[in-house]
Order: sequence, then C-alpha cells, then structure tokens
Amino acid sequence: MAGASQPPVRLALDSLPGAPREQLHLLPCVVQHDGGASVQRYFSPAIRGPQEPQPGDESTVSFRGRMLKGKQVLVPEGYLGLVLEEEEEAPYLSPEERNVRVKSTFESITAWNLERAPNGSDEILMAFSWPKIAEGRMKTKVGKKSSS
Amino acid sequence: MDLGAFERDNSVNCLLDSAVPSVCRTEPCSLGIDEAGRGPVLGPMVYGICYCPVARQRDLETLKVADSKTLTEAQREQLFEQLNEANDFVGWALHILSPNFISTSMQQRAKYNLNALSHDTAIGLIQHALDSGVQVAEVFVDTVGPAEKYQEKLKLQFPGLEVTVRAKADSLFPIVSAASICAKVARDRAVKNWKFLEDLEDASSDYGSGYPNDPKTKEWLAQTLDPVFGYPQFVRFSWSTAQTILESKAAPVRWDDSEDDSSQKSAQSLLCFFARKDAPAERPLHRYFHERKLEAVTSL
Amino acid sequence: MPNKRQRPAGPASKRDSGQWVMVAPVSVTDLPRKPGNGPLFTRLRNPSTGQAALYLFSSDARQLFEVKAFHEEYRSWFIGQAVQQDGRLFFATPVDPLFLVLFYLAKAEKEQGKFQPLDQILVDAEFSSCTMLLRCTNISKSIHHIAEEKETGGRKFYKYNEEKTLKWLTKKVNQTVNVLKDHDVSVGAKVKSATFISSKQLTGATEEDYIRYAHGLISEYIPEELSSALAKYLRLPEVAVPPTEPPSKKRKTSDGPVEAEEDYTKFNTVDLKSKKANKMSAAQKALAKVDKSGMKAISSFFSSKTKTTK
Repeated sequence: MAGASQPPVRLALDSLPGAPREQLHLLPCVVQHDGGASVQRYFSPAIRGPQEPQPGDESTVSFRGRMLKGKQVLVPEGYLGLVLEEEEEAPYLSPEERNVRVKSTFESITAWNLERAPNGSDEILMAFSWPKIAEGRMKTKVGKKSSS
Repeated sequence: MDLGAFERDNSVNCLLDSAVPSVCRTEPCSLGIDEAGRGPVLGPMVYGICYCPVARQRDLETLKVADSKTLTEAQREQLFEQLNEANDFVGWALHILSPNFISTSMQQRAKYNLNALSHDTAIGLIQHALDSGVQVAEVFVDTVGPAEKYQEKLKLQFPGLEVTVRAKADSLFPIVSAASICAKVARDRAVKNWKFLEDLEDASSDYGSGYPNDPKTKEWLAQTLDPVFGYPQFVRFSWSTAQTILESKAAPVRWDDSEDDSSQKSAQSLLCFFARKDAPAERPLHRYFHERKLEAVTSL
Repeated sequence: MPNKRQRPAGPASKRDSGQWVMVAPVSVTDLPRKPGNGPLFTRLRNPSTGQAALYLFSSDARQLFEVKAFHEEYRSWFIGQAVQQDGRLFFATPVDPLFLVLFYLAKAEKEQGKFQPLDQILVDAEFSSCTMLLRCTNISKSIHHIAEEKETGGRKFYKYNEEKTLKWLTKKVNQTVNVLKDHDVSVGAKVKSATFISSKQLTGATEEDYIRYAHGLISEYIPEELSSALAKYLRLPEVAVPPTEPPSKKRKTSDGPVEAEEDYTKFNTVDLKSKKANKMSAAQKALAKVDKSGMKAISSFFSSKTKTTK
C-alpha cells in the first residue's frame, strides 16, 4: 500500500466564511447511500420533544419504522464542527497535495440511539469529552511549575 | 366522534370515549370489544368497546346493529349516529393505535407481535371502562387468533367478569357489533382525513382502502417511496408489503440487530481486517480510547 | 503510483462520500490566512507504534493536532438535506509535538548515539512532513526536557537523555492525573450504569489507579520500551495480563517484573531498589499487600473485550 506517500491534504480556509450552518443527526444504523435526503420533509417534522432542544434534552423520532431516541450534544467549547468536502476541481494545485474545503459547520449534533436515549456511559457522549482531556493534558498547573 | 385529539399528533396513540351513561354506573353491563383495520398496510388500527346495561341489550337490537363488515360506510356512519343518540344507556370508548406505534412496536428490539398488542389494547380498554365507573359484568370479544387462550388470558386478568371470546363475535352479539361499528367508523375517518406530518409535496392522496391487494394502495406505495426514508408514518413499515418494496427499491439500512446480520457481519469484519492491516494494531489502544470508540486515523 | 488522489481501496469504498465530519479547535480556523496556505492534514509517525497516523498542522505549522475518529459500526449521518453513510466523527485535538520529536531523538540515540542538530535528527524519507515539526512553537522551548544541548559555532546540537525524559514524562503523567480527576474519568473497574455516577464515588479509585491510567494514556505517545521504563520510574506495581496475546512483539507481561530492553534498565533498577522501600505512597503500600488476582480479572475482561469487538 502506498502508505506514507499519500499526499497531504490542505484545508482551504477561504471556504469557511460562506459555509452554512447545518443540523447534524448521528443515526444508530448504516444507511447505505451517500447523497440527497429529504430530512426536512420526512425526518425533522417527525421529531417529538422540546421545540428548541437544549443540550441534554431528549427527543424521539422514527426512521424506517423504528423508534429512535436522541440527545442534543454540543461541540465542546473552543471547538467548531466542520463538514469537510474533497475539492475535486483544483487543477492549479500541485499533485502532491489534495484539497478539502469547509462545506458546512455545526455547533451541536443530535445523537440517536435505537429505543434508548444516549446517556453518560454511551461511547458517543464520552467521546465528546476527549478534546477537553487532550487539552488539559497540555496545560501545566501553575502550582506544579516550581517542582522542575 | 371527534378525532381532533388524534389528528393533532397522529404519530402517537389516542384514547377517545363517550360520556358514561349514568345507568351504566349502577346496573350490571354487557361490554363488547372489536377491532378495525388489522389487515391494511396503511393507517391506524382501532380498538373499540361498546357497553350498555345487560337488561337493555334488547333495545340495542332494535337499533339493528349488525356486523360492520356487512354494512356500507354510509350505513355504519348512520348507525354510529344512532348509538350516540342512545347515549342514555349506550357508551363507547376507542383506542386508536397509530401506524407509527404499530411499526415501531412490531420492529422493536424485543419484538411485540400484533396478537400481543391486540390483547394488551383490549385489556386496557376493559380496564378503562372499569376505571370510568362502568359496572361491567360480562365481556364479549371478537378474535382472529385462537379464542381459548385469549379467553384464559382475559379471565386471568379480570377474574370477576364473565368473558366470552369468540371468532365472528361481531355477528353473534349485538354489543360486539356496536363496538365494531364504532371502531370501523373511527378507522375510516382517520384514514380518509389522514394529515401527513411529512411534507409529501405533490404525492397523490388517492391511497385507496389501505389493504395490500387494493390496486390503488399498491400504486400509491409504488409512487410514494422515498429512497432514504421509505414512507411517511402513515405506512406500517412492519408489513411485509412495505418491507418487500423497501428491500428492493430503497437504500439498504442496517441496524445492529438486523436479522440477516450474520452473513453481512462476517463480510464486514473481513473488510475491517484488511482495512486495519495498514493501521497500527500491534499495541492495543488504551482503554480510554477503546471505551469511547475512538480510533487512530491514517488518512482522510 | 499513478493515481495520487486515490484513497486506499477496500475500506474507502464504503467511505467514498469524499466528505468528513470533524470537530476541531477554533484556533485551527482563525489563524492568518495567506492564499493557498491553510491547515494541513499529513501523515506522521505515531510515536508509540512508529506507524503512519494522521495529524493536522495549523496554517503557520506552529501547532500540531492529532486526528482520531469516533467509529461505531452502525452509524451514519444526516447532514442538512443529505445522508452520509460514513458515520465517523473525527476529532482534531492538540498534541505536544515533543512526543513526535522524542521518537526520532530516541531512534537517533540508538543508531548514532551522538550530538546532532535537530534538522538532522528529524529526517524521515517515508514521512517527509516530519521536518514541519521543527516549526512548532513548542519545540525549541521544550526540547531541553528530553535532550542535552550543546552549542558550537552558533549551532545547537542535541542528544537524547532518558533521565530527563522520564522526569518530563512523569510531569505529563501528573498533569494527566489532574485532568482525569477534573473530568471525572472512570479509571477503576469499568462500570456501565444507566445513571452516571461520579467514578470516584463509584469505584473508589485510588491514586495508584489514576497513575496507572495516566501512564497508559501517555504510553499512547511514546515507544513501548520507554513506556515500560516509565512504569518502573513511577514505581507502578506489576499487573498480570492474561496470556492470550502471542508472546512476541507484545508488551512484556506475565508474572515476572518487566525486563525492559536495551540500556533503559540500568539506572531504573538501581533507582527502584534504593527508593522503593521508603518512598512508596500509602496507597502503593496498601496495594502491595492486596491480592492482585482481582486486577487480573479486570485486565482480562478488557483485553478479551478488545478481541471480540474487532
């Protein structure tokens, strides 16, 4: 396999200001399809729960005749949700580099489970604490500095 | 009968009932149970109970209630009006099971079959009548499944009641016929005036009776199919009619408890095996990452 | 390779949407924007395994982020008015670039064992982007944590120093312990409960549990033998690991004390013998007396779980 020789991927930041904010739903199933979906026509109106869900609020919906329960999860403070997209037409670029652009942004997602809302011991909710752990690890506590 | 309560949110079940005639609170009553809309692939299933004093069943017969299936829709509507006019001694209650409830119950992780669902709904309605103060003495139930087991179940649940479960009870006992008319009228109205919570745009609303062999229903199912969502909640996803179309025409959807998983899973894990080959796998991930399903990434 | 844009075959086929959902620090996006100059995703050596892993450099290459993905088998996304089959959620999180430099420093120490300029140490034909590490803000300031420095003719030369490194790593472990406590991470026996109770109350995790856990987390960023050396340096008691893994190439396990390879052992064993008796914490002493068969059960639980989910 071409392993390490894969070209690096440049993130085109000029795409960020114009990128729309979108609603993201993480489903508890694999939909074997990539492309358009009438989320606004079929899915959104079927969601039952608070009108403007706050983080932690639970909602209910059904998809393909199965009951889903979901929870709104905020992107951690200091972080931004990005949907990145391969930029196909970039002929001026060197072939040593691929390009991705920001297609849309998000500030929260709704994580859906089958029949049972995600709780604190669910992998998806726990995964959202990773950035804070990663960051905290980098910071030296003021009190500890003198010991070195 | 005002279906407004159900129409406000037809994705969930709804209980409707008449006022309890005062005579039903004091005199022993006969109660009939029947269901409507068990077979169709579209719309709700409706359970109805009707009750009146045991001594007034004769009066019910003079209303000429008969098995709802032998009547036209117009006749049923008319008979329902007459039942309502007899509100000095006849009462009713309906439990409308939304198609969404039917789909999600039958396709639950712990499967909930239609018979169990029927029985539980019937039990719930008898209990509702008792809770409302109706002096229920005898219960007549129409059934499609094995009558004896069902009868046992009900007797166990309500030891104080005289329970008769019988196939075609709706043509044998006027009180069951009355219940049948109530249920069928509600089911017809709910289907006729179905308000799609989904935005179906220009989709036809000519969906016929909802029975799988109705050509109009068939055509509507073929035309309304959405490749990702399948159908609006009006359709019972748990019906084989719907499932067959979804399997052949819509994007496949796999759940962690899908029945045909064993074959897919082994293929899947084989894929994963090859996929992971170029990923570092020699040192197992620390449990922090493992417990969060966080894995190393080697490329975008 | 003729098609440079192609992603690896096989797994990519199910992820061919050419689209990724990612959570990244805001700082990745608001740095100075020169045309054509944006953050760069590139492969570097994972310092724990020496194998390829994806990293992200900020636009000016002064900050480094590692990329991990939340990945459950049965997940897909609705994104706006679209569906994406690949249900992974990528996280770009800050990582100390010194860990990656450490990998090369230790390697150079083994291979040459002499003072060298950093730009000669950070040479990797397979991962050419590793020279970008030289531009990370942190490196010049913090390199002294893991290396000895000599200056000749205005040029700086470095040589790996394990004792310094172990001290630095110990600080990292302590920082990690603090973070784990602050964020209530469950470090004891794993308990799955519907109601999320503080892990501290739930499992009565000891200081020892935290240190071991933090050591495990830090070990994700350092070579295996250094991880063993660090365990000794921290005086972490041995925990038996079930013999399910093939003996070669795996972490040294079983009953005996870890025998770290190469010269790491030398001062550590001395260190151990001289300090162990009087410097054990109360918790460590308590632990030394405790029957460790319970730990064995716990560790085997996790390792067997790893197996089945693969």
